[in-house]
Amino acid sequence: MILYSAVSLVSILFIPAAAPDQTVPQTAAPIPPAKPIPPCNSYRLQYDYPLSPVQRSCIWASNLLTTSAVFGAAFGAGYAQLFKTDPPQWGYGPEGYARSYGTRYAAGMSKATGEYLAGLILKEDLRPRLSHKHNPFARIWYAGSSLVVDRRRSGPRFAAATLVGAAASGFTGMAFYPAGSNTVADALERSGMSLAGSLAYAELYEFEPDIFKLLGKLFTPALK
Amino acid sequence: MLSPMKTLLCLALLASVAAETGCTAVKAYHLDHPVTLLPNNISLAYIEFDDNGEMYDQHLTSDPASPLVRPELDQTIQRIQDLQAGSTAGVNVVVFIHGWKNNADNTSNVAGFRDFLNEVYSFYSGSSSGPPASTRPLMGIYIGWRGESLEVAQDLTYFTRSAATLRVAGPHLEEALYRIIRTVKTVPRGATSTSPSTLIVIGHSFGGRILERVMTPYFEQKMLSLDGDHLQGCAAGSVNINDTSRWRITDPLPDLTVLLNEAAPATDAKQFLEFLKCHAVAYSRQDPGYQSQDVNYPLFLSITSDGDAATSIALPLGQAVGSLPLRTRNYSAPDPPEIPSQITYFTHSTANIPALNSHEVRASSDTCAAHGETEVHLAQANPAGYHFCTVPTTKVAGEPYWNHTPYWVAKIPVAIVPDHSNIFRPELYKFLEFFLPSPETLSGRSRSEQRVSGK
Repeated sequence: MILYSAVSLVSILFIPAAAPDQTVPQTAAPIPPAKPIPPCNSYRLQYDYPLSPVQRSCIWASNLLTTSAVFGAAFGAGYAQLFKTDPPQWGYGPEGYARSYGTRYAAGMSKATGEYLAGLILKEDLRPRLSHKHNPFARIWYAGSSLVVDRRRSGPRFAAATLVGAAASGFTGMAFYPAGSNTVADALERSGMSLAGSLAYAELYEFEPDIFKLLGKLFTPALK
Repeated sequence: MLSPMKTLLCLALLASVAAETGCTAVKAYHLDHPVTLLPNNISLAYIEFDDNGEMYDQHLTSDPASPLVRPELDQTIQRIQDLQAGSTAGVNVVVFIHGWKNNADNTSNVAGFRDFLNEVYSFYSGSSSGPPASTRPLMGIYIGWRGESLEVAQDLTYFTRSAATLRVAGPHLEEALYRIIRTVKTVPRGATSTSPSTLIVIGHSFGGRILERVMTPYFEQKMLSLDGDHLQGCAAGSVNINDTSRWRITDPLPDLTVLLNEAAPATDAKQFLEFLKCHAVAYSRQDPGYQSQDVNYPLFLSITSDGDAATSIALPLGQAVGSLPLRTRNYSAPDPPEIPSQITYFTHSTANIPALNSHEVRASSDTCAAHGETEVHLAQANPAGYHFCTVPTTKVAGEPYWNHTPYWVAKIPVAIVPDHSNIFRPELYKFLEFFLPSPETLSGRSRSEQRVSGK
């Protein structure tokens, strides 16, 4: 620790002084081309089409540690502890909570990894899109069907990556859950719950602007 | 109690962790090459400001005794002049001031702006009747400031970044923007026509606040200094917006100044709206590409997405906290009558106060007339898929609606911009095209003429 601190102090004090002096060249140079935008720039990850394998890997890596993953697992584990829905063998209290949290987080990582690998192999694009439709039922259908439909520019086609991710999430639990909660039926149930989570996210994504529009009106001064 | 040595080491450790994982450095990212080239020969320039609102400078040569220069602004101006010198048809310039949680590094915001420039290029080069694109070069200018001060937990920086906008909107940025406006829009001495070059200035989020604070005094100064005798006090009573005895400004103004999802309290806008309103200022341009008579255009176009939770929900909450030490007053004669207290202006952005909205964006399946509104026709056809309508919120006898000024304010549907940050979208480009001078207008055959007038 002391060694690291000393190195840090030295680097803070002396590295800036060693930086090269930035000066303007005296003669006008030709205008250089703009630096390319890195492939994993978040704008490119949102709009580039099709995604390269590197970009898919970046999306996968970013999905491993997200706010929703961290707090979602924490909330789920808390709920399970409170209402005793976890296997009793895990116990209740800090140790049980840690097991529950770890299992949920691992399931989330498995889901992200399953979706990533399936999307990579099957060349599917899982990025959510707004429907731009007006009919609410059409929007609900559009968002829900996006779990199994890849609406690519060349035309829609069946997509399996979300299903694979859900299955990976459910069956990963078989490595953690104790006997009695570890049958194939249990794994399928967990997969179904995972798929339900994906469905909820897809619907929320579609209607999020409208939800915020409605919430925003609560803060808007009235026009009498 | 730690020994001095251990305290020092702990501080060094904290500083190194902060430097490597937390705080964003105070530095310029493009000092070495402020002007670069994108495909299609689009020029992209950066002008960066530090956390105190100062432009970055450096010595002209490696000799420390050589004079200090500001290479980003100097080379940007030089590039505009070079492009103008090589093009009789003028140059199209787009200035963008970014918002919160961004800087001039290769962020998603920079990537989006580069895409936006390509869209503008396509818009102008796609015209069959205008001159070839090669004769109208396009240049983008990205105004960078320290909108991102932390790399993690950025939501905690609302108050410090909000305060930074007030420092950035200072003399250095004023100088930069005013020089750009003059360079792009000033007519060469002896020329008989106005400049064919166009200038679009966009401020997003906190960048909108910066832009508004810089451009409001610019607009006011132009109106007050040129023909002040005609600017009398705000007399009580109604204002005749069709008054023909008007004064006129021919000084350079941007062709379009956009406040996009502006994250700013409406306090500045309220005062400027009153100025424009009481002097019955109108802003019109002759646009022979579309029709021969003058067409009203906005000095400011403030548009905010219906789905922008940052300005409709988070900003009122943040400003409510910020208002705790603030002393506000209630108006004895509120105008508009819906807003009786100053606190409403402090806690809401302009577009999120319906009483200040001047226009409605309606779907193509709807009509303005169905709501008692009037459809706006500019040089372009209606924005794709929408009607742009004036709002008839009749509150004062003789006035068709409260905000009839050239400070246009409107909420835009989520289909154009879904939220606060996703702004660089084709739907927005298509919408903004409605307000841009037509490619025909910019051709050498017909030049637009701008006019600001008041009572």
